[in-house]
Amino acid sequence: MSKLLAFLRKDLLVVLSYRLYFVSEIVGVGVSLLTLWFLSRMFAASPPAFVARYGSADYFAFAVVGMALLDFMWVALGSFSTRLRELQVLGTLEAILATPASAEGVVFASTAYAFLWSSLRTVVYLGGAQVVFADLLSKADWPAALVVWVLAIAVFTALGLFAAGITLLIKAPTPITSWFGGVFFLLGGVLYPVEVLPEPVAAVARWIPMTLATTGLRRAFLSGATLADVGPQAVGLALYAAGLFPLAILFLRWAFRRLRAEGSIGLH
Amino acid sequence: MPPLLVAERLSRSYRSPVSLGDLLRLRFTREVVPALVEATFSMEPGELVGLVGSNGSGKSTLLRVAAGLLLPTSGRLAVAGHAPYAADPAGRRAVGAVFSDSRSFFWRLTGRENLRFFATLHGMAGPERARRVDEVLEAVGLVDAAHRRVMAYSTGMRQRLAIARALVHRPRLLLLDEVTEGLDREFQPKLLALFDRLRVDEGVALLYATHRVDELAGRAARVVALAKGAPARVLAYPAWAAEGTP
Repeated sequence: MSKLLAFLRKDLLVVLSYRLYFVSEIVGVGVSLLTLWFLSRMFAASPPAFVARYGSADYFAFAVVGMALLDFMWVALGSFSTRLRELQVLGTLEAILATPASAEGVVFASTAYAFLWSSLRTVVYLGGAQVVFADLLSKADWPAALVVWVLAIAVFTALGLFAAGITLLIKAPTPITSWFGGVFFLLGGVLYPVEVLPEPVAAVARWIPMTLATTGLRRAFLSGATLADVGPQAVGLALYAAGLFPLAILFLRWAFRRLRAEGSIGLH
Repeated sequence: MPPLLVAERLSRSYRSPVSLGDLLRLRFTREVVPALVEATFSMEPGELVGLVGSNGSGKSTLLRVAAGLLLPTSGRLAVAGHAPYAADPAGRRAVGAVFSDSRSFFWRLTGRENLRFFATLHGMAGPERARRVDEVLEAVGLVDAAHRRVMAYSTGMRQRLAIARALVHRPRLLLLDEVTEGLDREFQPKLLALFDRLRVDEGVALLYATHRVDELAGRAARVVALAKGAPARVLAYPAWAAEGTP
């Protein structure tokens, strides 16, 4: 725990040294919300039929849930490899791995700040949408939403750990996060439901983790679906997580061992 | 009392990468380059052992194995009974290392914040950590610059900070790679005096890689002499000095 706090403190101090960072991040969330709001006004007179299926009367509520999850997805997919790459380039990875801290612990702790900050952005997304623009969350079933959210993050984190392992080995940013992120954004029902995709594509898209997550979260947040109601989505995500997470940890361990075997921890 | 460090037939080789030209010629085998050959020696607490040899003779390789950053190809090395390159962190806990690389800090943090961070990774906390950080800053003469960001440090100041980082968790074994490189003439004797105090008063052992014979004279009883591709030799300091080898 103390090591986790050490990384959090270090990252906070680094971020605070860039004075406009916080302001620009919050402004960024505000701009996203406004964009969605104006987009939703196009459909204000006649909301698309699919919106009602998720328990919302408004496209804005539909899209905000997707965008909040998308933000977290990018953090979970990308922050592990990004942080490790930073440590590689700074030369600090070698100094850190010479301490008793475990390599996997270092990977998780180094992303703690990114996850915390993304959580804050999610609160701003959902809270801002609720307070300023719409009565978004009055029917929300929070336990169901939380379960789906945590399982979705576990799946994205596992994929992010694979990407981190690849980054360690190739000593360069990996495009794998962009590939996964791009597919999830395109096919995962973030801004539109998978039903609008061509049927062969939609048949596959229904089973990707992002679609399971956006569907489950919208049902829990917007129509008050209980944990039993979102069971199929939760079970699907749990199966993905159970399959991917242990493999990702093993792969990361193997990547660190290979670095020690190659003697390339300090190279970048 | 068992030795603090034990190296037994410790060897490390590297494989050269396969180039595109090799692939086009359907040559897939990689050349094996020996970096360290059969080093066998031990170190007692409070002892300084010189690590000498020309560039590329394997000094840094040996230090990196001892720091847990590199796996040996064969043989074994243990510090306080534990392999520092194993998953078990016990071996790394006993080791402090200074490598000739001044990049390895968070440049937007101050010197004190950097030391605090690394001390925490070594399991230190609270007032003990703060006190120890102050002590090592004092020891390397960086108290006045402790509040400045590392990006404002000179090369010599970063080297001093690296020494402070190696000392912060009270290691039993110090691995030093050209440690006086980049330091001003005024500080060099102070640093050597600090190392002498650590050896005599606290029983810290030093594995000391250098090209400077004067730094070993009167301090090292033995040297581990490395040469490219040849087995490591352990010599009494006078015998090695009489050879006049680098």
